[in-house]
Amino acid sequence: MKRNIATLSTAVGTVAIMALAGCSAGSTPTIAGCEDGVTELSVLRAENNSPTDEQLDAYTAANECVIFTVDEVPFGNLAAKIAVLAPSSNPPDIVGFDAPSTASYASQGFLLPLDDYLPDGWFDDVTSATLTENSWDGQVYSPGNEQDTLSLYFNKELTDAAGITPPTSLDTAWTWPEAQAAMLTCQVSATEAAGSTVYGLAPSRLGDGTPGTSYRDQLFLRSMGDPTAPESSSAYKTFYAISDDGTTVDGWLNTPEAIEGATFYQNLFEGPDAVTSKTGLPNALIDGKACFDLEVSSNATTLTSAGVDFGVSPTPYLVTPVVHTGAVTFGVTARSNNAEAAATAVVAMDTGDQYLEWVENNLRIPVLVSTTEALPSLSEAPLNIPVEEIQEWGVPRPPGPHFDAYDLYVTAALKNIAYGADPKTELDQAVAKLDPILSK
Amino acid sequence: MHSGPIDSTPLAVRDLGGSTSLPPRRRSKSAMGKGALPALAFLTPFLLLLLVFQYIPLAVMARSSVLDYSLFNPDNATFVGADNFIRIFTDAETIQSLLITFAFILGVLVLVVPASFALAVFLNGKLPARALVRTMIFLPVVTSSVVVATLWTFLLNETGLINSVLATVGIPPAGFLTDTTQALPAIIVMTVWQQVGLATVLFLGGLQAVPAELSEAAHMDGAGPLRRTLSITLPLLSRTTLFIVVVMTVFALQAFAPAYIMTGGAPQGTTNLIIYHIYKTAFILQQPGYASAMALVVLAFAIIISLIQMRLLRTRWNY
Amino acid sequence: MTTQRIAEPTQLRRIPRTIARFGVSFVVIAIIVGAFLLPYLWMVSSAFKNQTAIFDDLNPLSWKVFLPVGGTIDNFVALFEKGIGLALVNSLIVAFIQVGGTLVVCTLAAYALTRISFKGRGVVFAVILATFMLPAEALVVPMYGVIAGLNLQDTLLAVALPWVSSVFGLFLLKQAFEEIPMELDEAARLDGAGHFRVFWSIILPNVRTSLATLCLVTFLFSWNAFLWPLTVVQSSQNQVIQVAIAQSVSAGELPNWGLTFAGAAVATVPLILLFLFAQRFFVQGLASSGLK
Repeated sequence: MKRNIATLSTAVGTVAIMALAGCSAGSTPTIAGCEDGVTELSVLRAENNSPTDEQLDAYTAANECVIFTVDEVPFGNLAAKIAVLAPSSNPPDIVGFDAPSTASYASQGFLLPLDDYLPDGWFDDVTSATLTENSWDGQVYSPGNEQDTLSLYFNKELTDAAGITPPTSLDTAWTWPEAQAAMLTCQVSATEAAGSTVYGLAPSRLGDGTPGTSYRDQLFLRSMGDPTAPESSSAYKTFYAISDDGTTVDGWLNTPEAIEGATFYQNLFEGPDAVTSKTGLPNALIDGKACFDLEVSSNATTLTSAGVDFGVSPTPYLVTPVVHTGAVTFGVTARSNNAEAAATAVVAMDTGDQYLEWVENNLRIPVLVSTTEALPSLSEAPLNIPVEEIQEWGVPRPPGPHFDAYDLYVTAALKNIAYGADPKTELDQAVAKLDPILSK
Repeated sequence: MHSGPIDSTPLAVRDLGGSTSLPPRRRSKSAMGKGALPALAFLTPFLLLLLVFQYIPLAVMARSSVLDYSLFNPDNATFVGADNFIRIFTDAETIQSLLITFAFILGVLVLVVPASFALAVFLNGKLPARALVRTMIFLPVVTSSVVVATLWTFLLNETGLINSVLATVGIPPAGFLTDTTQALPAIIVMTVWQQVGLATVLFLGGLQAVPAELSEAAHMDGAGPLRRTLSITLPLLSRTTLFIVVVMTVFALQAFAPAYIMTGGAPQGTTNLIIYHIYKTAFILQQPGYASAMALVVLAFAIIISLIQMRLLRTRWNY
Repeated sequence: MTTQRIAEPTQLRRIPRTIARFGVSFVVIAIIVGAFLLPYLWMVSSAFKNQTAIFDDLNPLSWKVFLPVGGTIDNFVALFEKGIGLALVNSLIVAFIQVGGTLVVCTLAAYALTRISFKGRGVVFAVILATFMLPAEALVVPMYGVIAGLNLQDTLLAVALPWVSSVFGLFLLKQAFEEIPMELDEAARLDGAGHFRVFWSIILPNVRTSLATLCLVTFLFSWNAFLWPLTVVQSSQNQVIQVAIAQSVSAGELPNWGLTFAGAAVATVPLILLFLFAQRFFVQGLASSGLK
């Protein structure tokens, strides 16, 4: 059918197009010294995300016969853009995407397995969370670019003024009731001092800038569970939030424990102990409009460059400490015309010296143990907290080929709960919408 | 550029042109008689583009609507017959989305028609500052939906301008976009704000075409301004009113930015407008077959509206 | 004028009526300014502020909220560093292609539908009108398939071309053409003029206002389009303004109201200026489209 359209459209459209278009074909640039010609690789990435210009330029500097053309879309539009481009005649060679989508893209044949291109010893070097997230059905689809997770950042000036000293090691981490009490104290004291509203917990900028993002807010549900409990127990299921084979969430997402966690979460937004806002307030922590913020590790760089005196505390928990792992990564499309060159480039950017240099320059959390060991800065503040969280508490977001649907409905349910809907009803509805999709 | 495409005119267009038909009799006196070939030449560029960019995609969509597949694997599709259409009317989320969209359209019409009529009457009078008012209410019409939705997100934010104004008179902040009872009304008000300028200008055109003699006659009979407006002007504007109702219905039916930019369909699906729901189903849930079926149902609904319009305006549209 | 004379039985009644008239005017204008002008003032003045200043002026509400007090042009500098200038140029190019194409294609088609009688004219018009209702958002995927089939993806032409056959444009022109007396072209035809000659030298010169309206409205549609350019354009050097502002304020860095407002202002103010200069054509042209 696609070909039919193409033929028909070409036939009927040619004359009009030629009249209007002019020649749109580009010519391949030539660089002296490239005997086989220059390979031009197209890259699709989310704005301000990997592979960054710095990474691409570094690769071209080392391999001057490979150049890149980059297309960017806002992160929120990336999935839709990939969906449109994937079946087209010109998919990008290299594509940046969110690691939890790996199974979805791989299972649909969009991504190229990279096992053959990975250097010797890679499997022993990569962290297990990254290997799990970037694999599907026994094959690896991305070497992984960085790890990331949430930590509790705080404005020291405001917490000091309120007489609060947040914990700065994993063993002394707050439970959520402790954290909420501290946030409330700080909120009252800072609001009084400023004469205008200061929130205990900054409204989240994650996702679309409103509450509910599963990356952050599903932690309230999963943290009510216990991975060490018997596999048939509700506590075990609450922690994993999707059945082991990924075909159902009934009895996993809507357990009594999860509902209790959701109810606690709701009280952050409503009632006498509310510590945050239902709508967005960008940069609240930087601007002194909030005492605490749950943010990803790049927040440390942002706060440092804004000159804010800040500290980092572990993510609070309810029953079991837990954080989500996974970050934006990049791989090669299965239908790329330059698969070999693209795969070589992707692997080179995420391994060896080029990788070490990029991680060091940008203060990112690496996915390779050897790189982590080579960088002492990772065991110092501010990065030590997220690094340890990933190692000790990290779990992938519930993986599987239907992650996008899972993410959509869990986020919608959490958003509604934050806005005041009944937690049980919302979680049951999410289950009712998800199960038909997951069992397909 | 209109000379070229004739050679590659697809058969479908030739058939529509009726190349072998006799010249029509109605206006046999005029020189328009030897119609088909020149008509074809003049119509071809338009019809060609229409075919390529509207009808072919529409045909593809109609084909998709009976299939189950993912965007990534269009070749790996299974035929499911009418399943996608049956699902529309059994899927609670879709039913809710259709009802919400219906309520949204109704809300927009109920507010925009009287408001724009009143504004048009005001602008048609001799009151001062008419030009200023006309210019101001037209500003949102020339502003993109993306900008309007972004601006209103900030206006309606818990810490936004409207709540800030309310705070000065002691009203606690309202959750315009987070409260289930306020979110839909909020985006209705925004849409009215965005469209009222266009509707007013359309009414104004109608008002200015009302013969002054009629109003004068009524005046001499002792009818007051309100009665003159309601019993003389309004009936004369029925055609304009209908046109506005249809245009606003189509705009409201196709509204996308409020859900896409402002709410994501929340809270509890109360702003999950059907076009956004279709978009989400195709791109995020990866069910383009089901999304196509929904789009066809929306299209059928829209065509019914346009048929009603054509029927009501038939006198002007005879050929 | 005659109405006025008849409507004044006594001088006494005239004075309160004038006062009432001003009173009504004042209230209406106050409401309109509050609802329509202030949001734009807020947008433009906030574009000149950093985020802290925007929130400080709101909380508690200060008169400064509507004026760029303590202004900075940092937001605009940041936007132009991100290449918004190129996006403006691209949007202009797309708009010119779309306006030019629409003018050519729609005037020709409108001529055929109003001046040439042929069997099936009603059917053709119905076929055209039916697409007016097509929700473009739902057609994005198959439309992208067509563009890719024509090998036009990621071109500015692809952003404009699908909308050139504008049903609205055809409808508007068809109505304008019908206003021109048939006797005019019949006379010309008797003098031996062909259809194209009649079209060029009789019809077109008589519908200048409608052509201007169509240009402006098409420009507006083109400039304000979002979802289609987002889908069809991939490289940043071909990005148009609406998509560029959406990108410059989104993910990856902390969102910033000042930057968002500045982007909105950059995307909106050129059109508002265009509208102010050409208001006559917008208003008259659109007003007449509702009459028929």
